[in-house]
Amino acid sequence: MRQRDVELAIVGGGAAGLAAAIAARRAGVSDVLILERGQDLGGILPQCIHTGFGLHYFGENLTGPEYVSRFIKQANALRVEHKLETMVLKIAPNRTIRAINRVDGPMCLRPKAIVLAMGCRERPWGTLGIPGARPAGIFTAGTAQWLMDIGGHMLGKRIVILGSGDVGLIMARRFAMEGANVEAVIEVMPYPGGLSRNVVQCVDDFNIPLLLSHTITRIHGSDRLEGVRIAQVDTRRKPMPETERSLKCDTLVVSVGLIPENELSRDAGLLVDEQTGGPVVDENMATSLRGVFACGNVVHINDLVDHVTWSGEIAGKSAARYAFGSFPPPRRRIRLRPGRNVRYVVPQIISGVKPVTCYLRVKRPMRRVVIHVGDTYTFFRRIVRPPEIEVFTLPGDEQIKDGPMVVSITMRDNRDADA
Amino acid sequence: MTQTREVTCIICPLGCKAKLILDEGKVISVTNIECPRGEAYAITEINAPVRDFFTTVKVAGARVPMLPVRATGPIPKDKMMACIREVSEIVVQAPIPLGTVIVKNLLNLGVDLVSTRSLDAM
Repeated sequence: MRQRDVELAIVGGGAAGLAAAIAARRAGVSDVLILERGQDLGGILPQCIHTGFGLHYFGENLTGPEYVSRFIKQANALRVEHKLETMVLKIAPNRTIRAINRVDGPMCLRPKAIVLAMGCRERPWGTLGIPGARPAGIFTAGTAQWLMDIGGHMLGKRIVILGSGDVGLIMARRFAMEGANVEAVIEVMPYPGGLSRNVVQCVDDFNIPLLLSHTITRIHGSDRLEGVRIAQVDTRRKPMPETERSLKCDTLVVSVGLIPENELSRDAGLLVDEQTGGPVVDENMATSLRGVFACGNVVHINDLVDHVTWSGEIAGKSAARYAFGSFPPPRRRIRLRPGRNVRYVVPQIISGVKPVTCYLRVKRPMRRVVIHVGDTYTFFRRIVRPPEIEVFTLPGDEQIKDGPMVVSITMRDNRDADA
Repeated sequence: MTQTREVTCIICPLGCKAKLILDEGKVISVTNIECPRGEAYAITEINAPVRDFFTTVKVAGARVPMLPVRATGPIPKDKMMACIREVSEIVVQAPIPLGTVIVKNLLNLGVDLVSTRSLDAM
């Protein structure tokens, strides 16, 4: 088997992996190798043909392919090496990587440092357990997006979308623009799952009914999808039989969440946060295994690619320092623990000695709130909503106590507590 | 003759539902909005709403059959479907560098349709 030493190996060549590779090369790492499973660099972005990328990072409104092409160009200019159609099979706790592709065959790589940038995949619709047959015409939203916007296939004429996350909303607009009838977007929660700009521009603009507190209770059809039965749900998300009705459709697009892709991380024995579904990281994007760093959607599901890029840059710089042998273990590890109305906080561990940008996902919407970080810091917000991540910066402060800090959200006053 | 319209603001996550009162089509009052940027957005949404325009066109001679394209600036919202019809029959030939003008001055709207991806010839 082919064996090779390398300074830095990056698993995944999407937005996160590219940013990490560029940052590491700029920090002076000579030998950076990206291992990418797909046929192209860029991850999910080449199929995200809509605008809204780069507003924060570049101050420009780009499409997905435009955004990622800037990073591919930089990576090429910096002579970052990449292997496409290359599958990483295993990462051992001693950081040995086993990978395979058609050109090199099986490989054994021995990198000084590793950046994990595998991204996420879609929650498959089978996990919902909807009664009925399994006819043709049911797609996850990302697959539908690939088939339409890369593959050039029109998938159907009457579309129902299950789930109002951003990918589902964006596909509602794509189908409507390409001349299909989008019968409804169905969301089990009482509020939309995606960004409000996508609700307005993808659903309201095309007069597509957005049915909140609804779900699909049955699939109709045997060879090809013929329709779905839908029902309103009660406050405990149980369908109410008296509200059931049928919707005719030939295509069902399912957008019910994204899952960080961490089989490799778990195999390698990394500590995984069950709330994010990704490795536990500190402010340097270091995981629980020395020399292994992680960034982007493999750590937690980001709303905006700009944040993915920034996390990749941190991971790339940290991995470079590790590869040079100048990455001592942090003197202190302060755990940030989710408290009231907090699903998760990333990074999960801080040192307290330098400013850290933190990302927080809430459990339910609230208006006029205070985010408390331990007894030390407070941040005011007019609104918090699960689809929009909260970003705040903790100042570097030697005064921080050593123990864990609970991050919780409370009402600022008693009025209008729940949005 | 006055009428009332509601606009959901997209400037920030608050998502204010602005109430606008129109007199003969002109906005005479905006309420239920928390900031001046939102107020300006709500008025634009009534008077001259614009949207980004993007889609795909067919490409021959490349590894994939579709080329993503966009308009170089926002277009009037009510011209979206006309633009889609205008570009639906276009077939371009690879190679296509990123930023290639596919349609100059799309429907006389003062914007060009450009490619958003490079595609090599096969």
